[in-house]
Amino acid sequence: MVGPYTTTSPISHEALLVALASPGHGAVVSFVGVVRDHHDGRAVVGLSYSAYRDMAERECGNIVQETEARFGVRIALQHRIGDLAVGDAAVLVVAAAPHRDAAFDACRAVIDAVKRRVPIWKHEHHADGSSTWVDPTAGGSG
Amino acid sequence: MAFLHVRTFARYAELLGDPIELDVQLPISVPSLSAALRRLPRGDLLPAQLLIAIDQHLAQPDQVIVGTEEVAILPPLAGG
Repeated sequence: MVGPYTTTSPISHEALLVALASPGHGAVVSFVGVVRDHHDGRAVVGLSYSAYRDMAERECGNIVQETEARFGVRIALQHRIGDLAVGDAAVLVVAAAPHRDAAFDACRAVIDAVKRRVPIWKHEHHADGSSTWVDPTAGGSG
Repeated sequence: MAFLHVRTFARYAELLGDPIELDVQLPISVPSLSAALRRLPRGDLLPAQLLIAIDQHLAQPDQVIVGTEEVAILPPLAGG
């Protein structure tokens, strides 16, 4: 799937499923990353995502192309930017393949690569009114 | 000496402002740029292993910046 891969609008799972629909793809696997209400033992009320948008688009495109070629699948990917509340979808990966093994493997490969390679950051807002930048290199699962 | 514009994001934008205008000798190596950034006010809060992007690609330690590139420093990535 071509970009844009980053969006300030809510992500539509249905739209991405429709975009990937193909009679030859009998397996479709989705991963949805959702804003949760806690992190590292602190209550979280929301996240603000920011990005180096041009580089993020380029890197997401690279990840999609590499994964499609490696696993023989089709990939849809979108990442939210902006202010999100608990329960909002922050990132969505859909992998469609003829069979399930490739779809599961490709979906996992994409979300792992997004976390490792795409210049996106999240500012975490806590229930006590404080905010911190999330740093996965400092521990915690991000 | 010449001015090199460096884009910053997220926590680094809060720390250092965005963009940074850095007075350096060009061309400059990636390690030398990193050292120059760490000499800025509050630059000591940057990590020793600083992620630098050149023309929207992660820089390698042996790369050299001539001054015409788009240069950015990236806080630890936290997408997903």
